Amino acid sequence: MSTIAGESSSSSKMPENSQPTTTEKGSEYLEQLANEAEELRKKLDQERHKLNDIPIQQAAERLDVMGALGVKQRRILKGHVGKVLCMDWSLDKRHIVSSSQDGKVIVWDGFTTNKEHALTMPTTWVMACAFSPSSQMIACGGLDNKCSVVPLSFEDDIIQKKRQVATHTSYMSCCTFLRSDNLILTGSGDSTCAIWDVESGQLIQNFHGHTGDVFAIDVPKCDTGNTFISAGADKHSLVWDIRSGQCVQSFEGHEADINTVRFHPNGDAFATGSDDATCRLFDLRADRQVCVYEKESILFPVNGVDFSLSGRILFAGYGDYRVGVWDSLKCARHSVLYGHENRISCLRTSPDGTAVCSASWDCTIRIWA
Amino acid sequence: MENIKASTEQLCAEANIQRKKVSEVSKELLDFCEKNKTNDMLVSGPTDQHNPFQEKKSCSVL
Repeated sequence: MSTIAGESSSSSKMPENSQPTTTEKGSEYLEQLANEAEELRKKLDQERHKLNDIPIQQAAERLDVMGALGVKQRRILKGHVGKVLCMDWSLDKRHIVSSSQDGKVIVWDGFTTNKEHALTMPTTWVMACAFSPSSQMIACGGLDNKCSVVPLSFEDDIIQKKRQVATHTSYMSCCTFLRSDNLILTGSGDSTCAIWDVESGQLIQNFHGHTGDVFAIDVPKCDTGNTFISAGADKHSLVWDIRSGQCVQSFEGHEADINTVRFHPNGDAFATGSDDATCRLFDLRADRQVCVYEKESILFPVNGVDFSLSGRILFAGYGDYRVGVWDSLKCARHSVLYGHENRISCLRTSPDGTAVCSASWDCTIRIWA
Repeated sequence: MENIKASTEQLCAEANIQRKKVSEVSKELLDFCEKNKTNDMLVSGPTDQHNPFQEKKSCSVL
């Protein structure tokens, strides 16, 4: 537990592919720019390093160790016949939407485990799904490169009401509504994120900056600011200004694809999970990585992370079928939840913090509380 | 060329932001957790009202 940050070393991988320019002047200018970028990079690293004074686990020594939690599997939602790829809670803290590799999207009552709606999408691999804030609509999509919305009602055949809202040039990996039922934020394999107007299907803002597939996005719960975060195959997490479309901060540290990202409930920090088998905590105000959650015995990718209501627990769903329960402040693993029989693909805490839900390639969704 | 220019501008903007020390943000994270601890059912257990997910399903058992 000695290292807190894995950054600094591999800072530059930039200007190698600089194209040969026709004029001497052009190449001089290019060189000058590259030097400038290198200097800035160094300065940035130094500045961030300077602020790394006391590790968080040392500050957390004054806290009591968490006792036994009594968290165990309370519900199992069965009905998918393919790998479950994504799930999302309704703000009513009760309903759950899930999507799977065989093209099905199911809306569940989490209390009773009943299926309330089921629809079949035209393509398989529905990689993303989301509940709207009013709980009256869901959004989903994936390999079809599209994000579609479906209003939920018991009167009609809801698939007839399905509408396409967004189109990317590659698969859609993640989506979430933004503050209302009218705006949707999507992330894609085309390495961009975008905000769309649900009613008109118009692109409101797009976000260019990632150099690889985007796998995850998140919006702060206490949504006062105008930011969101995204992360993906380029190992970087980017913070975006929603209004300007500009990237305002970028965070590095992971050594492989980032699969999942989630804001801390305070809205100023966020956690990530990666193929490098670690979770990490980054803080926007410190502009750097604050903690790494890792163990030598953990070798599998993290595909879902989320915090408990106070932020004390970081839940992580792994490729080794387990849910790791981390003390986010002491940076130590508290316990492990067993149950799934294949890799976990997605994990979310319920909006009021009463339960954690995990989706898995074992075709089930499980609720832990 | 455009790429390098853009990324230099990006770095420039990032280099100029205000930062806090890790000790400061750690303290804020700790305080936030302590303040919200009693409402965090997964840490402190259900308070006066039950956690609906921890109640047994009415028609469970076998």
